[in-house]
Amino acid sequence: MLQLTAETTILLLRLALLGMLYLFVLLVVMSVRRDLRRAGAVAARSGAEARLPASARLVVLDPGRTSLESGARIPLQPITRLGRSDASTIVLDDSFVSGDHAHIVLRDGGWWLVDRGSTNGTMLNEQPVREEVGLASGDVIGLGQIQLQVSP
Amino acid sequence: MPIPFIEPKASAIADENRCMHAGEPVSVAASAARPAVRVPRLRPTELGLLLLALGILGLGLWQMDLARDGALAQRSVVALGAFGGAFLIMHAWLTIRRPFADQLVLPIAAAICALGQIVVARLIPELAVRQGMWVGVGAVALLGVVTVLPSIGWLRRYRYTFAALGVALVLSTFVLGVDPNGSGARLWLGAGGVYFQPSEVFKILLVIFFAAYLDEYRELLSYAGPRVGPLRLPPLPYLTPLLGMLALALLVVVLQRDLGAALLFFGVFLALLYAASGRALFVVLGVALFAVGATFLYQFFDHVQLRVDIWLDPWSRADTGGYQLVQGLTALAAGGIAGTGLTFGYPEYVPAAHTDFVIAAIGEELGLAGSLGVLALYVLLVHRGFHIALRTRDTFAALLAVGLTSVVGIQALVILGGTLKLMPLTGVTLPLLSYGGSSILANFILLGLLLSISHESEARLAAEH
Repeated sequence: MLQLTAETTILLLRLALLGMLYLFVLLVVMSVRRDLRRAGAVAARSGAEARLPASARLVVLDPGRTSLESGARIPLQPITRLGRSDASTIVLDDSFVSGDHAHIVLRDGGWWLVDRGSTNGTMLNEQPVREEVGLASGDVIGLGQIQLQVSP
Repeated sequence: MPIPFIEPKASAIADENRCMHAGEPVSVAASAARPAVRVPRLRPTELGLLLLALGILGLGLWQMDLARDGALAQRSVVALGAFGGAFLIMHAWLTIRRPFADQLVLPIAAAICALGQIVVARLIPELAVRQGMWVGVGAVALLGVVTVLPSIGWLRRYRYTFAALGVALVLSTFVLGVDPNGSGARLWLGAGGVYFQPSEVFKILLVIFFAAYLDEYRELLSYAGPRVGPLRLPPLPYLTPLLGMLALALLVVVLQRDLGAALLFFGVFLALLYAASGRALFVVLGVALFAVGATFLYQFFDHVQLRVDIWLDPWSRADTGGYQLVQGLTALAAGGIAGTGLTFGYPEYVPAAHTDFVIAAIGEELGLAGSLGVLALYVLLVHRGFHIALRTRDTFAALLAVGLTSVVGIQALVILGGTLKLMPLTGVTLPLLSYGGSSILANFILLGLLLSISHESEARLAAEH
């Protein structure tokens, strides 16, 4: 049998202690990773897109002819009215936009977009909005030339 | 020695148990109308990691005994057994009563506690038994919380009671407070050798109140409020009770010169406000307010001025006010990357090396490697806490989880930053690692609450799938 001196044993124990500490950390990280993957898989299965928080906002991608600035971030209100009229929450002074063009509302913990019978219609990701649709992070709302992106 | 390893197969089985498959339904706390849910029967991840944490403690104690006496001492075996027993009982109880609770929280806490035990046994062996007993008391408190607490919602219902209780506890130190260790602040209650620091429990009560209040007025905080140009200001009338409570808490701890607690309360408050409202403006306003308050304190309080001066230049005061900080930094430097090895350094020259300056002792004897390991453990614990919060549908429970996690994270930051001379030093314990009964006890209660939140939300998720 190999006889270890006390010094060698202590050195080995020191290294073992650090090794075990890092093994512990590694195993926890692996477990965390497994959890996150499973959570990701569950989210993908249930088809739940990136849910928007109750404090979502609109990012102006293209201001069209309005006085909005490109890149501006506008917080969403629980009932956000988009339109040309002064009563709108977000006033879009573009002749293409109807007085009361579209609404974005917070309901059941999610954000919904509804067209208010506008003359020229509302688009969501290049598709015309015919009935109330749920919004997800990254969706692009189009009113004529104006492009607004939904972001958390 | 054999290293316990988490078998992927065992975990996979546990994962399957979480989903509902065709098969015999195991008893569940859900109502009869709901579909039956398979309850995970074992917690293999938790068990494996707990044994590994025990291994860390065993290796540390063994190495110290070898260096001191040349052989493994009997008291170390007893300490290892008691420590292991306490955590395995918690593990068993969770398996029976809270099978859905997160499996990583307890082992991470055990690893941190194990390092705490090693440090105390290294520095002040006479206190090691006491620290072990406090871990036992903490274990009982954790079991009490997960067993007795009817539901997380129950905490919300009695939010004002908890707030009043917390204030009464802290106010009582003005009248009955004692200063058993000569720190210059009368923050403890008690007599006959057993002392208790109410601010440790107060922080949990405060988080419960903040979380409950913010949950009630969350929507208003997110949207209401007067407009000034493009900014929407916070709706002050709804914030008043909250700010009042915060002001009271800060006033009390500042009057008691417990600046670390003040910093902690304010940080947790901002974290919760941000989590509840999602508005960065609140954080900006809060930080501005903090700057104003800090400047005020600096101007009018000598001890605050001294703290800042020491932080900026401890070296010119190395033999007076800067002594502790300089000794701490020297210890960290002496440790190098792998450390001197337990018992081979001189951390006993650092004042309070077993409480506030515990990272200096670890840095000297376990080195940068050991300190970074400790840091990683806190990061993982905080990550796990936020993970629990994110998986919770109940907004109060989620906010509570965020608040409790922030307590651990911010407290660790405050003291680690102070010890490393990254910010002015304010005395708080390093959660679960520092010696100190009230701190250990409060943190185990906190862990019990986190585990309860996790169990409740995971059980609900499992019932839905």
